[in-house]
Amino acid sequence: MTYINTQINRVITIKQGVLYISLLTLCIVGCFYTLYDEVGMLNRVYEGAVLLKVRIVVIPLVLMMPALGVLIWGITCQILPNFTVHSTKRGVFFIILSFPIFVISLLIYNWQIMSWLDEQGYSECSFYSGASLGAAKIMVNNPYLCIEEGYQVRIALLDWFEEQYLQGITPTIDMVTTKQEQLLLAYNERFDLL
Amino acid sequence: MSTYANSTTSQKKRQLQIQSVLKNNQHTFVQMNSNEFMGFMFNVQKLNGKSQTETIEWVDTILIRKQIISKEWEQYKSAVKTGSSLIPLGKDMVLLGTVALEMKRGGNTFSKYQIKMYNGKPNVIFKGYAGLRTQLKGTKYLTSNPKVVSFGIGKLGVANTIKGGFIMTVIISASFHSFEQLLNDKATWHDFVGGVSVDIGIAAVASGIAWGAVATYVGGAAAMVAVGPILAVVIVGTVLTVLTSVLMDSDALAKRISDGLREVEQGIKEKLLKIKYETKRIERSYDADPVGFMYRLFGIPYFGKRF
Repeated sequence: MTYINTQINRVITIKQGVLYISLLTLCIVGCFYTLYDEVGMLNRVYEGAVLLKVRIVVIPLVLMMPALGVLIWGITCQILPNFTVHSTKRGVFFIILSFPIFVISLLIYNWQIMSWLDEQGYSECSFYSGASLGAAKIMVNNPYLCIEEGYQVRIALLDWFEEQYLQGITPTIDMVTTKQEQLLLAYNERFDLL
Repeated sequence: MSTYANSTTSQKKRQLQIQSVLKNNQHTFVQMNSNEFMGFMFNVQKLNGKSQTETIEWVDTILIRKQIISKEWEQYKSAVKTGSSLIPLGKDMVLLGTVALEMKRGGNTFSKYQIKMYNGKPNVIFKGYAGLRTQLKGTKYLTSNPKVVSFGIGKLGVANTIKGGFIMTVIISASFHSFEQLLNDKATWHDFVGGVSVDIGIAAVASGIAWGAVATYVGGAAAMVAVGPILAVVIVGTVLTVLTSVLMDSDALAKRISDGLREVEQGIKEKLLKIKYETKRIERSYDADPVGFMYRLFGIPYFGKRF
């Protein structure tokens, strides 16, 4: 196969290139920050945390970061410019290859992590999770902690769970029920729903 | 000891052994129908100090956990969510398949195209046998040609593909939140608007970055594999959408918006109530003293009957 090794004229401005490089770099940094957060959350299983916020997509997403790196490299070459069709083709091929790996790893990881959490006694609580596409999966180690009426005050309740964890307190069912009732009462009073 | 005495003793021993084995392996089998079993289970829980409501909750939890009964929507919500986010990807893959098929007809699935300037306007030149293709029958098209754009070729094509994916995401998000509102008693229209707004925001941010990055990366290439730009858009767009949704605490943001809407609604209600009260008061004032009312309305001093 012969490649057209053509030198290409720069078609983007330096400002434009720098902007996209910065945005993509931010995405990569954000991804690794979220990964650190996610690993910390999963480690809580060994501490017997009562509630976990799991984002199953984070760890497989790391596999796609080299693809974004290739994109950054490609844009840098556009700015310089020392860009060839051959290198573009190789870059695109790399991005294409990393995607099936990401999808397969996502499926396997999802299956593995959910089975592991199930073995550890955790079950999903859909009442504490909203319908937004990026909402995290909420796992509880006692089904009684998952209260249907908690849906309306879920964010405040999840914050309270986090506070309890940071203070080293293990919330009991009574504590959670009481807190949920308090929050719901305050919520109903705030919006005049009583 | 005589032989008779020996055999009697051993016989007795054997009988005792048999009795002991039977005693140790005694089981009581109770045959119950389903109603009797439920009654028995409730009684056992009652003896353990649980109230009837607690026992019902306990049974429900076990049945849900064992997936014997389920709140289907709640059970499948996250799976539907993940699946539906892949629909725009599927749409782009179909488009990609069409381009690949078209290029295959022209001789090579990975045929290249070149972008050249003629009369100051950028043109796409396709390699391969143009006559064998069914859609892109020409060898040269303007980059703004609707056919070229619809195939996701060139910078405009990339933008078109991204736009299509964004619109599809909005439709899916709206449908998903509609289901949530219909099937979850606790969800209201505020949650619908809040959730859809966040999803649209995420899709817009991700699409914007993907469009810019991919267009600068592949759109400027003078010669490129035709299916390449679409694949790059599909993959980068999907990854950025997923990444943005993970980076932002979308649920908390959606809840904040929905609570804000509730506050606005409450404020409007209170104001409407105030207006209603004021209208009633004016009506009463007019009924009691129409002349005095007109005087007060126009700020004319009046010394008659006051309301």
